[in-house]
Amino acid sequence: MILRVLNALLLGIGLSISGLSQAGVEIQTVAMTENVSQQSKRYFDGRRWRTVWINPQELAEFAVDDSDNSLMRSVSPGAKLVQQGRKFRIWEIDQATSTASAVTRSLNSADGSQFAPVFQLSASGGSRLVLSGKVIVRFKQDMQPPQLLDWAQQQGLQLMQKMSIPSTYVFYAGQGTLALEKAGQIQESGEVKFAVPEWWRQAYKR
Amino acid sequence: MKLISEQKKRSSQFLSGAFLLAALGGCGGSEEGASVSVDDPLYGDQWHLKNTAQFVGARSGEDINVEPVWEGVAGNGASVKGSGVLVAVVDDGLQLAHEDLAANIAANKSWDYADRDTDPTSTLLNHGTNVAGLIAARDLNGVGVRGVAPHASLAGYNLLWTETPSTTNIFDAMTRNHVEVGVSNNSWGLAIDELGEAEPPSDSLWQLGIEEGISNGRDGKGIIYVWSAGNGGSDGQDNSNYDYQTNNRHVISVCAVDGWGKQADYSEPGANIWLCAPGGDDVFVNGGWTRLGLPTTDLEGSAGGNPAAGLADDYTDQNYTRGFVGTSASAPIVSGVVALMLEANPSLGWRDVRLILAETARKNDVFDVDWSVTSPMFGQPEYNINHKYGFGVVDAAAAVSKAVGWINVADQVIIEKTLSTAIDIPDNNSIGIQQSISLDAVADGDLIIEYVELDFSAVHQYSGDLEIILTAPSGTKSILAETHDCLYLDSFGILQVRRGTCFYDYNPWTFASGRHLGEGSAGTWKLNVVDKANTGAYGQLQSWTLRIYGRTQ
Repeated sequence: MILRVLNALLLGIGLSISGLSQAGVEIQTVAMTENVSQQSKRYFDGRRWRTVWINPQELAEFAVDDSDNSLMRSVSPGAKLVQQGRKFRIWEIDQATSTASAVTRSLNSADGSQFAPVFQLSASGGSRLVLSGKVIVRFKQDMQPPQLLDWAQQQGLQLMQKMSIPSTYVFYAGQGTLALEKAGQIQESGEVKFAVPEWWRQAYKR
Repeated sequence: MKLISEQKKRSSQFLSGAFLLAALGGCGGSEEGASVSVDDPLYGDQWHLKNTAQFVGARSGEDINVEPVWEGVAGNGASVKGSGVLVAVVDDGLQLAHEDLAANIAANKSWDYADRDTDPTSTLLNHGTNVAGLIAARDLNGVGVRGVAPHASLAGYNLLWTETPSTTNIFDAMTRNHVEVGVSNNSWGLAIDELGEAEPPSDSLWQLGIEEGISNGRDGKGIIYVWSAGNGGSDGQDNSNYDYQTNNRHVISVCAVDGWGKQADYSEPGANIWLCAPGGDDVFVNGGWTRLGLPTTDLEGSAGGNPAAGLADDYTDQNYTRGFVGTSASAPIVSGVVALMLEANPSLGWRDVRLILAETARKNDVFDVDWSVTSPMFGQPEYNINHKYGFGVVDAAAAVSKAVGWINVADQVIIEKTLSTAIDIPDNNSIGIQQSISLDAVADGDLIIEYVELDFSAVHQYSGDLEIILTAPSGTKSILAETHDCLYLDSFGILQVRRGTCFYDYNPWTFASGRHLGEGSAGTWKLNVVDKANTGAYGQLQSWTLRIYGRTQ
């Protein structure tokens, strides 16, 4: 119950920001999101195309040492921690002290970047979604290991694991928005049954 | 909180009486006196198993009627305790070595998603251990409590060791050990409660996992997925129909009742609710609130919910707690009953389990105005139905008795029809719009209905304005959406009404209903959509698809 309350409070922080935005309080979002392409992205969910929106006020930081805030502080000195996960933590970026270029550089870097955008399934808020960097692909027919590895190499992906349903594999694409974009490209190619980005999604005990 | 002491007083009084009864040869729930509880010291407190009004806020008989099953009075005369049935507890962990669970833990079937090994024991997270005790705490072992199915096997998958599981792990938790798992208990959800928002899935992996478990699990008979219907009822804005997981036809959505057998304050209503079970609640007595929770296992020692959850007067034996409440608590009660059913009849398919639970549920809170009855096809049972309670409260003895000798139903058939005539929904107008889809008995078939889905597509500036009601040819109504506010939590954690727009439209959204069970599908189905609030927020119904799952006569 205590954890549930904590969850609610943490979520509340995120939601209240959306609320402020709705109420007309000015939040500088445009500069923060330049070069993160648009605020919304389209992806295939395995059965249909969906749209997700980037939350311009938040940033996910991966593989962190809980006591070390230095990397985040270099991007946004006044950032506030809003969710502490085991694999990542989510920061509310301080609008006044962040520089747009630092944030976008962090999101777009291809050098094993430790940051990723935080997404939501509505333009105005909702549960947090973070890309893990992986793509789940279900092929039209079963693939043998040499074929699979060749295919992965062509796509710039790394084979991670086989799933327990037929012809379905998990590949690593990369941090940032790479997994989302790669999954979309593969899906649009028509070569596969589906290509879905793997999400970390909020879940709630009842 | 102070009234827990009061509850203990009532308990002591009861126990004295029960001891006397036992001494006279009667049967009661005493810790010391009754043979049925002699070896489970806290059994007398487990009002959800045997409600003798032993606590303030509990009424005698408002329980799940399970003792006859253990005693061999129900079914074919054999004692049934869940032996041979594996229940997967998908949660935040499971303390495998817990003194009251260890005997029922299936070797090497659990999974730890954090360390990728078979021990999901957590030193901090107690929810899964609370849940597991309700299902299968061992009986007659001299310690603690008793589960509904006290000889069932347990596997713990700690999917929720993190607040943000990956979608591939969610898939895995639905399919792991799928040949052996009989029941999958899920006291969690991907939709946040209370906000009144119909948050869509991020992808189809959860659904894919469920479908895999249904098609190939348990040698093709299907895993029985039991799901908490949601705790968002307190503010009156949430509804289980705004949760895509509890709308899924493969899931048994479980609501919660209190010790009086009435809707627990937090329990969400919904046309998709299948049935209820005791989930406890806070009770207002003598000018204060006291918690009547379900006694269950807790992390051993000072960790876990006792005393961290804040019950000042919880058990002194901190391996147990009496403070566990929620649809998280009611779902495992049903999971335990299903384990008993599967021991009694391992051949039951997933649809058969649903049908038996519906047919044998007990009508509770009998004066509630929402109760009505179905109009069954010839030869089908008439069901009591209620948006708060589904078909009623689970009755273990009746369910196990019905399971014995049950002949599985025929293959499922699906009818689907779409109407795509866009129509404006009058703003803040009590009449609204009505559209209909007709199903011809010859051309489309006349199915015995098992479940109904409605894919609804509308654009609306404030989806919470809409009341959506589906009326079957029989006249039975399903309220799929109620006019409500969409809420958000402010920075102080207080719920506030969202102005301007809800996060999500019903565009598209799949609503579901179990309320037409056993009725015929042929005839005219009517959809009423009424915008009842917020002048100035407009919208349009674009299309809807009616999908009926059932079987032929």
